[in-house]
Amino acid sequence: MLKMIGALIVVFAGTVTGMQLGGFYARRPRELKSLTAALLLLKTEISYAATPLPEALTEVARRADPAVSPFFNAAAFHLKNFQGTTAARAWSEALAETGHTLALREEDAEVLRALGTALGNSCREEQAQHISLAIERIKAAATSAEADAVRYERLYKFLGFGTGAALAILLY
Amino acid sequence: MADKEFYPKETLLRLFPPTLRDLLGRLRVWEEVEEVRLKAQRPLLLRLTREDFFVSPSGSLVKHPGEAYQVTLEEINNILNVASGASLYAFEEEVRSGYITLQGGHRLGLTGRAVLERGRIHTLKYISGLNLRVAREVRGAADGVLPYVITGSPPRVCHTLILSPPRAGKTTFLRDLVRQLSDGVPALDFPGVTVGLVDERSELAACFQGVPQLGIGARTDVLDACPKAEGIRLMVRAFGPDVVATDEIGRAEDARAVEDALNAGVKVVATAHATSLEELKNRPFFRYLFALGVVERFILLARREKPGRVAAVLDGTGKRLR
Repeated sequence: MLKMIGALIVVFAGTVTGMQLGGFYARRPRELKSLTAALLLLKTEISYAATPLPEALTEVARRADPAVSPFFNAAAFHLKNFQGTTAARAWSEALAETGHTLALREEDAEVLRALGTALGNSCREEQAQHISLAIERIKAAATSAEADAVRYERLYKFLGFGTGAALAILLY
Repeated sequence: MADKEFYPKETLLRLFPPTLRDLLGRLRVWEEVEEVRLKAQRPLLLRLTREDFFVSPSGSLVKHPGEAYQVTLEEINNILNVASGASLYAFEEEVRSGYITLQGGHRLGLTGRAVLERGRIHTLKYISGLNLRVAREVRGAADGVLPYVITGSPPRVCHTLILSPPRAGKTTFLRDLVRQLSDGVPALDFPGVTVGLVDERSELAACFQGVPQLGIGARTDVLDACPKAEGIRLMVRAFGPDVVATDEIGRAEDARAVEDALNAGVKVVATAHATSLEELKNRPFFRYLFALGVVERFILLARREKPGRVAAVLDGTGKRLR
């Protein structure tokens, strides 16, 4: 009996691990899409309203998907509370603080970092161009992430369950 | 004169990236700094009250540009980003006119590549040169001339023209005069009058987001960044001030506006670029103004060891009062 319960626990743990690993693949396209939507909001704030960046970021955080809003909030916080901070600095600090909560890959973070160095440094048209470029790149990443999600999510889930089951059988 | 002078070293240093902050923070001459000039890949230059100096990488003043610290483009971008609150795009009008007014009334002059649209500057690209002009508020700068500007009993304000060569402190002087006319001068039994300040170049009141950063008096209304001629008319019509003050008059269209103000019984206090009264007499605008015979006081400033020295006060006929 006890053995049976132990075996079930091992199978369960394997499944959960697999789901978590697969979950990363499932979350990534969703979060990348939320990110493009949020960047689009930022672009609108800048090109139509010329809202100063700290306020624009707060506004984006308020309206964006809850998954990505901590990032924008953190960037706004750094700009507002530390005098003498550049947009690039605030942006990368925010990425360092909140990046791990997002299912981002290094290449996604790199796109964001590149955008950060351009923020607030030029006229509205140019700002809009920089943001559009980042949006396009993230969109492309989202497309491939979607394909990955279909493939790997199931794979990891099955692998997790399978490994758990195999271990249970071996240990039984 | 300068009895109350406040020097915002810390506020200014915050604009600079760590490398420059460190360098400039070590300087002992902050009270004298009028301008900090930064150009990409060129030496860091300080303009002090009397002369200019380069700053060496160790933070000392040097005369030879070869020994000076070379400013990088990255540092320029950094300063620009911080000065604009990471939102240069929100300052399009200001960039077009070539400078940004900062908190505290300081201004950051910009140079770069002009992008034109229908012959007008649309924006500046590749901004690679900055000139930080430190705003100085010298309370009491106009003390010496107040008895000449406010005369009679009951006391009234005279039409006044302040003349000075560049960088001799005429804006600082006019600001203090406006402040005192507006707040009143107890020593002269002068209760203070409403002043309409037309601040075309945002230098007098140094408005930051519409709020004056420098003391201009309790009864002063400011029209920020407004062309003088239009501004004077608007002020006279909408605010009915006792005094209209403006900086650097001299264009043909200013003449009509000044005349309008005179007709409305408003006193005019203004400044003009000139080293002497004779020099002005050759310029059409002033010939016209003198023909009207309305200016009651000329105040001549000179730049000697310190800006803002009053060289002479003349009455409307050119007779020396001081």
